[in-house]
Amino acid sequence: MPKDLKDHLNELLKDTTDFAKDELINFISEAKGDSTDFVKRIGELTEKNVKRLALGKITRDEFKELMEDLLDLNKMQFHKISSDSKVRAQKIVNGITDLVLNKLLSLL
Amino acid sequence: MKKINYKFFVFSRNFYLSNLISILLLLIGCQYVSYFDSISYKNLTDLKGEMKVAFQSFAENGAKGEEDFKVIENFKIESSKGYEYEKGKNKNDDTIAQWKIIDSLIIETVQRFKSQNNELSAGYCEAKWEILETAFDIAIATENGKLSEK
Repeated sequence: MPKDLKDHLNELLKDTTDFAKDELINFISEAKGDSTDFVKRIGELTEKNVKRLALGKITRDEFKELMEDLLDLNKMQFHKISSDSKVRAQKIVNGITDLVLNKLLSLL
Repeated sequence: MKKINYKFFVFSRNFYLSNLISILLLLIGCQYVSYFDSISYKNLTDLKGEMKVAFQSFAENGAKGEEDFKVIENFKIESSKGYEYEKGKNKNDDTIAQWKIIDSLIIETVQRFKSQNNELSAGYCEAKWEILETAFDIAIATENGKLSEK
């Protein structure tokens, strides 16, 4: 039977209190269940990397780097949202420009 | 009395209208973000495609030796070129920042390769590609979302 996230965490964290484990499991579960594709993706990547660490496919140092990379992905997403907002504002300005230049001024 | 009120009304209307027009005219010609650029889009998709092929192979066998190092080093050069291209454009802060992040992710990979006696594990390469792929997808979607220049 394939191991689930909790099994992998049990192997990794052995004597750590259950509180920390459950908190991490809840975090990943919530992220994976989020309606936003991006947040889901972060949850999936987090889970995959935890499993890779538990299975010895990556070292602790590599795991640290990969988890820090998720923070970079957050910054990527932030810039996407920023750009999308500016595009929306630009569309409004363009629309107003057309109304002012083509319609309103001709009436005055 | 009625005559004065009418004149006042016309004056107020014209006053506000002219102010509104002035504000709107200030907005005209304001550009908040760079336009969609097919070269930018191609830079992103080309680099993503090339890296995908390489990393899929690295994810199976790992990356090792001089030949694999040259492949990864070349990605560093291409991402640096992409970054410099974006830096040259106005109102392009978000895309510049995204390229800087992609560049840093690739540099990180090169540095790890060098520090580990010219070797990267298959597990690391598989995981790193997932990060890079997501980064590229976000950047490509950002570029795609921009307006076309008329």
